[in-house]
Amino acid sequence: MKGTNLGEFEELVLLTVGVLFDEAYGVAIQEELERRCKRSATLSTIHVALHRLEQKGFLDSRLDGATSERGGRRKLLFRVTKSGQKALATARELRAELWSSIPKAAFDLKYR
Amino acid sequence: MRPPKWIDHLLDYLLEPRLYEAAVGDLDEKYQRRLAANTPRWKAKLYYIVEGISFVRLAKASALIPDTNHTMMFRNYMIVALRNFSKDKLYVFLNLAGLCIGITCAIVIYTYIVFEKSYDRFHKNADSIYRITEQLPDDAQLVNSAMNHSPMAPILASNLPGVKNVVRILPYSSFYNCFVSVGPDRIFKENRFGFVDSTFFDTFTFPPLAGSLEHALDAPFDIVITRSMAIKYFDQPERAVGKTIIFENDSRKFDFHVTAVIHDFPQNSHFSLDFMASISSLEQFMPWYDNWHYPPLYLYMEMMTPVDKLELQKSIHSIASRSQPAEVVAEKRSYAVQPLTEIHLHSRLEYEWEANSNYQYIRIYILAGIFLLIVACINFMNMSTAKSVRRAREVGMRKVLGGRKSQLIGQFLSESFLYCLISFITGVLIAELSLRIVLTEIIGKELSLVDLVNPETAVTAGVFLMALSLIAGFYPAFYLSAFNPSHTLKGKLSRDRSASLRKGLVTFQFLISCFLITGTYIVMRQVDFMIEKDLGFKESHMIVLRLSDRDAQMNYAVLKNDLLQESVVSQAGLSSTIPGGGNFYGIDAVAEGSPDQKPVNIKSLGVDEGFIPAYDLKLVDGRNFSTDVPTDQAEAFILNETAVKRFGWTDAIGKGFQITVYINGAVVRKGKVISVVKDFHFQSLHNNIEPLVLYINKHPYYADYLSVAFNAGSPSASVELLRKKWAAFNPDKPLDFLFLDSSLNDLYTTEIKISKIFNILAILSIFISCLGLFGLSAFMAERRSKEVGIRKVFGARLVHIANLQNREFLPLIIGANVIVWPVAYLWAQKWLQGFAYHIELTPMIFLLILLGSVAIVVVTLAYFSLRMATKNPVQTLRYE
Repeated sequence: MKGTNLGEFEELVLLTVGVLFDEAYGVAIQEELERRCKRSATLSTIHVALHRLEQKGFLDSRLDGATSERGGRRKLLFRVTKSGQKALATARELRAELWSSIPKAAFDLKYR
Repeated sequence: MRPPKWIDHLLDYLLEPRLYEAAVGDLDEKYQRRLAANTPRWKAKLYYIVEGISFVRLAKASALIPDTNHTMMFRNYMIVALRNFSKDKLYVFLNLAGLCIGITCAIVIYTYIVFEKSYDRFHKNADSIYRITEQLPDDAQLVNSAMNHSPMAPILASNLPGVKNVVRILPYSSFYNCFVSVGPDRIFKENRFGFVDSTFFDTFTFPPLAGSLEHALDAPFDIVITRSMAIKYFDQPERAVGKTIIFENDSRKFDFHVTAVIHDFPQNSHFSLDFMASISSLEQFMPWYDNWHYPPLYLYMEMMTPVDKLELQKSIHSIASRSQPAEVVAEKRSYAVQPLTEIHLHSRLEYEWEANSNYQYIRIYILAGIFLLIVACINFMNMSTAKSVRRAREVGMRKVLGGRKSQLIGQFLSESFLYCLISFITGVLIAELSLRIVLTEIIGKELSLVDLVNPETAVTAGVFLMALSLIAGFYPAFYLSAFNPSHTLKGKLSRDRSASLRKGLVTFQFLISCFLITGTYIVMRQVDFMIEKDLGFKESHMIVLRLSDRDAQMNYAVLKNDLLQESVVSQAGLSSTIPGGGNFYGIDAVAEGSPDQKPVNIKSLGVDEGFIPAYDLKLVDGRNFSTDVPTDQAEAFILNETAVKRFGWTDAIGKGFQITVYINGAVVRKGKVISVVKDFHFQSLHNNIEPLVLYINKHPYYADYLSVAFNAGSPSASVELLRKKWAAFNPDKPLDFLFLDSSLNDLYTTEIKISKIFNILAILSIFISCLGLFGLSAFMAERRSKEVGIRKVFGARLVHIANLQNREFLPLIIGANVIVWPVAYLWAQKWLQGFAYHIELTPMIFLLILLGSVAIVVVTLAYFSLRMATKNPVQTLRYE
């Protein structure tokens, strides 16, 4: 069974797919990532992450929306599934919990 | 305008259709957007290509390994091969073990030979460097010396056309003691101290580690040292440059200025030094080095381009006869030119840097390696054909389903390739391990396969692997693929046609093994013979002290008398050299009654009164030297039997005798022979006993060894005693001693090494053969199980059945032995001729080997013979 952990990059991609809602495909995700997160990734890197997320069941995909810009080829459009949402929520909770558990003194400059 | 089309095709091939459409779409879109954002076209195109190619990561599995008919069949072959592996593990194990051992040996031998051939090739101009050696008359006999005379260097440098550099190297520490220090607490005895010309580093390539090598040896008392010396004396290589080291021995003390540090000499250099001092220092150090009389140094020459060595030799001769002083020309010395890269394997002269290798032994190793591989390949052939029954149905099935013969051959060849590949990979690992762990000691060098990693070896390995799998798999492939499907599928097997071939191959295997065993056995016997032969003097419980400084040499009697006080010390004697030690200087002797009183050159040994009793030499006639007879000191001589025979005397006692000794010039000693000593082997057993004269000589020049004979006691206790006495006698210098018996064994290092290597190879060869035989006997036991069952039912006895297999194989082994006898005999005869004293080749030796090989075969066969014989016939006959 494939693990269902979310890698850091995978989490970003998954969130971006959520952000783009119905327009989440390779180029769009790439540009969004670059714009929002200052992360530049090649198209194949994005697709590898998308492929893995799909295998883990966090994404759904369909072919649609050909444009002339793409030489009449359709886009592979992605959408976050229910379990994808759950995974994102879990990741967020986990972080929030970790954040709240950090003792105040730890990040206090005086003690460093 | 359009992005490159080939990316499109590539991705079409590589990716799932869905992803392909999306990926190329994305790439196109991105390309257009980049152009729209004013990215230069070439850049956009480049992005397109790079990003496109990186989609390989998402390629479907079938795209990377194409799903053609061939690959599918190949995959099937491998699956079938692996299934067969697991079906008969014993057979697979025997096959793999044999191949693996053979390949390991081949790899080790290859590594060793590559190393031996790499000697001195690391010099940038190795091909145009030559060593000039000299053949000169020395006391009536011609000496082929690796060394040369110093004045030859300027003569060659100025007269010979095409010379780039002439380099002289004087290995000072081979002649004299060297102590080097940087302070009172860091003083060491050094034995790789030499003086070299300033051109040394121009000719030879030794990269600097610190300091500059240019002008490093221009001034007197400049010195370049190696890294390990720099660390030894200065802790860090960089710190050594600019420092001073103090050179010291019994007669001299000088300061040297370290100008540079180089890396240690590579293992594959035929000479090595730790200290290279400028040869100009010798003017103050030892000015007599520059003479025509005694050759103290090695002479190398770098030419502009590689030249013909015979041509060069000729020009050297003509220049020498023109430029040398008349009295030297009269001696008719001759010179030989050795290309630098040939010295290690081909040069066998007197006074070499170190004992060189012999290319003949290299040939033997190559041969042995090939033999082992053949033995291993035969195993594979035998077992594959023997087991063919198992595969017959598969072959039949494949043929019925349309498999062509060529396909079947391909299948079996790829199987043998699989075997070879597995054995090769394991073999590489084992070879590396054994090179590092076991063989370092035998070879004396640290070799590793890592040094061999380069494209050339990769190709060699590939070709080797292919060739090996072809040789091993060729016959089984043809044999197996020739089965007739209509027979095999009916379950009826045609007669096992390969049985007689198998027998022939087994005989051949044992032929090779028997040859190796015979060779090994003879070498071992000869080595034992040399080590154990009674040399005619006391060898055990003898410890020899080397008297290395003048004080010790002058006052040796103090130490000797002190030692004789001890009850464990029975005798002690002084001598100029020791048995097995060389340096039995040839001297001119004139014997009474010889025609014209012409001097004859014979070997000499200067001794004191204690020497003969210490070594327990037997006097045939007469008396030992005595302090009670004052004239003994200069006028008494003791000859060995060979010398007496040489002079044609029947009664030597009282005959007049005269020798010329060099002590600050020639001194003539005239006197009488006082006794005859029984011949003893004062040189290695490679040589005949030569005429020898013993005379009293206690002069410090000759007082080099003090031999101490102990009654009893452990070696460590004896050494402890010597250490104590030495500390009281000469506290400044370390005790330098050797055990006589082990130093005598050192005379035969080459033979001992060969014997060890032969031993390993022979054992492995016989082991592989036995693996094969074991597999065959397993197979035969299985095939004959019904026959044996019937025999038992009819009352055959156990011994009779157990003997069935022996009867099959023993004639083969005996046949193999008989074929080997003449070949081994001839080889051994030739090899033994290199020894003046050697074992006799008796029929016993060959019979012993025959018996040995029969015993090994019987033991190998025993397991399955007995299993076959003890099986209950009910089990074997119940079938059906």
